Amino acid sequence: MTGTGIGASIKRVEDQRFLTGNGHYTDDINRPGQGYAWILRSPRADDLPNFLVTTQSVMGASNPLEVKGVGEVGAIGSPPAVVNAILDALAPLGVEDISMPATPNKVWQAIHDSSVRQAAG
Amino acid sequence: MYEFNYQKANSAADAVQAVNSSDDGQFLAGGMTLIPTIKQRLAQPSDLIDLAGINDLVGVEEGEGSVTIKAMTRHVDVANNDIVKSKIPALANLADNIGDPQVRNRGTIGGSLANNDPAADYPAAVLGLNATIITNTREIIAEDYFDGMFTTSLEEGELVTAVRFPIPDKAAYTKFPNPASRYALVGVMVAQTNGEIRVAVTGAGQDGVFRASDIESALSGSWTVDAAKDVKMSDEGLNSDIHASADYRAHLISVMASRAVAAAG
Repeated sequence: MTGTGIGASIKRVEDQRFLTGNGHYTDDINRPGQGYAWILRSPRADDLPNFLVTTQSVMGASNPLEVKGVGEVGAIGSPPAVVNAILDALAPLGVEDISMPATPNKVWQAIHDSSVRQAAG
Repeated sequence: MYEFNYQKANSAADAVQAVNSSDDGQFLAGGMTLIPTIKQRLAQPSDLIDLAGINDLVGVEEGEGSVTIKAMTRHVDVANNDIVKSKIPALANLADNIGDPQVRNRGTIGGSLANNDPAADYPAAVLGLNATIITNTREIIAEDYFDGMFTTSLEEGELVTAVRFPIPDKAAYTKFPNPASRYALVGVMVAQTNGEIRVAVTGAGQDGVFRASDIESALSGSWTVDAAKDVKMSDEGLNSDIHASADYRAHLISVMASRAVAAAG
């Protein structure tokens, strides 16, 4: 039978290797040190299940007030450290309190008032 | 900022002419105070007469026993000038510590002195070193020049063209700067020139720069660190603000003066 027509057989034109499971695709390329690119979907609101948020308060264990610091961590430890250092230095003069900011003027005033008090006492 | 006319002067005479023929014109030197003042709408000059293009107003010259600094010389150029550094190192050091690098690269000695900010550094140099202010019409000795906070004896349309500093035998300037602005909370220039001792204080007085006569007499008796430090300054007439109280400033005057004596040697 020659010619073409409905129902006639058609010769497959693919390479033999594709027909026998031996084809190579770009995914199959694997060179030493090769990089890979992937597309990742980021999670979106509708990717999450429903959930509830609650808080559980726990008292701090490291100090008598049982308080804990939040927010800018650097602003929690350093001011008391600086003020404690100033008060420690001024302790021999009987200075027990100094308000922030501890400007040179305030430190001088504390010393000045203290020696005035001592002279008067 | 309000609208104003900008004019660029080619000579000192041009600049004076331009100010005199304007409604309410002002000279523009480095603009370190004038421009912020205008931006905040605290000043509304009709014209700004820019002095930046006048080459005759820039430079340092050595004279007979004196150093003359022209008005538009920037702080950085005073600080780095070889004549100033060798003849009046205290002045070079003062200029090197005005404000910050941006201010020192724009601000000028003439602009600072015409403005006479009560916490500026140059007034202490002019009064302490007994300098003479040279204008387009006359010469004014330091004692007659400063006339209270932001006020000088300059007339309308009078232009500072130079400042002549006698070369001192010894001098030093020490200041306690505001940590943010570097303006002087208290700045003290001590100087010995031909046997005369002068101590000028900026930053502390309600009326601007003044001479601390108590410290001058103490140093005349004994040029020592302790003589300056032991003077108990009165806080009368001194500034009190959020940066420092009047009695703290009084205390700082003696301390800064004693440090300046130590630096002067």
